[in-house]
Amino acid sequence: MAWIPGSAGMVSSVRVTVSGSDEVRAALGRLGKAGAVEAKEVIRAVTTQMVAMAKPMTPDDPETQGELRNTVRIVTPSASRTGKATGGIQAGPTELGKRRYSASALVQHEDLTLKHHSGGPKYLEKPFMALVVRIPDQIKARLDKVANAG
Amino acid sequence: MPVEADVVAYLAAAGLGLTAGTDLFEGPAPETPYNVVAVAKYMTERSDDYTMGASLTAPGSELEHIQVMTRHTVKATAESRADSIHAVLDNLQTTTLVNGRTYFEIAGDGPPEGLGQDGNLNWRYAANYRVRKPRG
Repeated sequence: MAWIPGSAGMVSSVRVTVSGSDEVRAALGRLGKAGAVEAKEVIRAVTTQMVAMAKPMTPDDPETQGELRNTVRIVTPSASRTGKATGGIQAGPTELGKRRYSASALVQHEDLTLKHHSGGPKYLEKPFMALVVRIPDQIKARLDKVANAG
Repeated sequence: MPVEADVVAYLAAAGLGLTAGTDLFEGPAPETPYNVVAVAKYMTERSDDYTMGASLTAPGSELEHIQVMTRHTVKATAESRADSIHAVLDNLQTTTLVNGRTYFEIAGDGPPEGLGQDGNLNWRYAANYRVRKPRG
């Protein structure tokens, strides 16, 4: 399991790549496309939970009215042929796409001195780190279920 | 000792020209002086280093996350100072810090990143580190 910071080396987005567990990777490989589909579904479910946790933690003030908070979203999960499944969460204007990052969202995430009416810094990293540990076990359980059903 | 105090003491003794309490602080950074380095803990993680034993057995190590923020009126100084600190801290393996406590690892999430200027037009760079340290 790896945690991959956003494109700037810091985070206005965080991504998870399932690649560290030999057991899970082997199972993903054996199941072919079905394995990738299951892995992506688990990542989608967990990153959706991350977003739900992150939104209340995202900085907001009466004058901003959810400007940043409403942009917190999942990065659409993807899977490669080598058994690597990737997903994540990000914040910032949607028109930036998933490869670029928002300077404003980055500063809000990294500046520990800023004060807000609600929410605060590290609004993506904290929920990410809290929930990412669930992914390998959930993928393994899903793959076991698929393998046994087949 | 908290991780911030340990790292501040380590940086103060690292020959970087930083002095604890003068331009090196346990963070978040104070509003003044402008030219400072601040070390702040922002997150902890569940330890992955428990061993079989009584339920009260302490983990072999604890995981904490810190941010080192460098702020300076001159952009180049802020950046070079952040880079110098990163060179000292990143990938630090088992090391006894100046206060006699052994840290097992300090690893950066990436090199220092510019955060632009603050409201006082000071330049800021920040880097995050995952620290594996003894309990306490």
